[in-house]
Amino acid sequence: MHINLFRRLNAIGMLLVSVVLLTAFYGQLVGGELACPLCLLQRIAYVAVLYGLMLNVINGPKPSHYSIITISAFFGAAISMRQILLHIVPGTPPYGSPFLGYHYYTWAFIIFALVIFGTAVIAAYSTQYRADHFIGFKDHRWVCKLAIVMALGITAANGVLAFVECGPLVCADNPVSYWLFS
Amino acid sequence: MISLLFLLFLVAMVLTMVDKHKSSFAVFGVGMLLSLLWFRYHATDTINILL
Repeated sequence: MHINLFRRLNAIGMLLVSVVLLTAFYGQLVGGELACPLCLLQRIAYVAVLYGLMLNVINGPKPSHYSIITISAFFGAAISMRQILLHIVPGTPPYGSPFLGYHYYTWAFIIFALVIFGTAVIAAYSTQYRADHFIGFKDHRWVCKLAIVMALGITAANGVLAFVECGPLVCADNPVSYWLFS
Repeated sequence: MISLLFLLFLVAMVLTMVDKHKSSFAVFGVGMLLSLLWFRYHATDTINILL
């Protein structure tokens, strides 16, 4: 198997995680559903997964990078499980609208579980660890460049949107308006 | 506060891009630690379920 294939597989993983975050953006900006504190923390965990994947793309795959992805996904799964448990109590309404039958936090748990499973599988291929050298942005293939730009853009956009919604202090438990516009 | 966490991860990513591997790991570590503390802050209510 070609060594650079694994950089590209990690880049594809970055693109998939970016699409998940874009879907959350769509729900917030078009659907008008403001992100709760636990929702924002799940986005943080997605960004941490993106960081681990980016390390593999830029510096080459390493077991430590896969550990970062796994730890980040565990963190995200813990947050989403906490939110599922909060809303599983009888008489407690769910947060937000369902998307394809499940709420965002349920999807988040499924996605983080898939990330952990996928990482366990891909990390087992030892041939990929021979190509652990730095590659500058301009020398990457287009798919890697696109993944890096999307990850940086989405992380920055999340930071700006979180500031607009919550301001510099604590987010409201059940936000109904943007801090900057209220 | 939460926007600061996104900023920390963004800085970690940028440091990776400019081949500052160790600094990048350090910033990521700080970001994860603060995220865990923030999660603890937001998840201290008891959940009314019997397991």
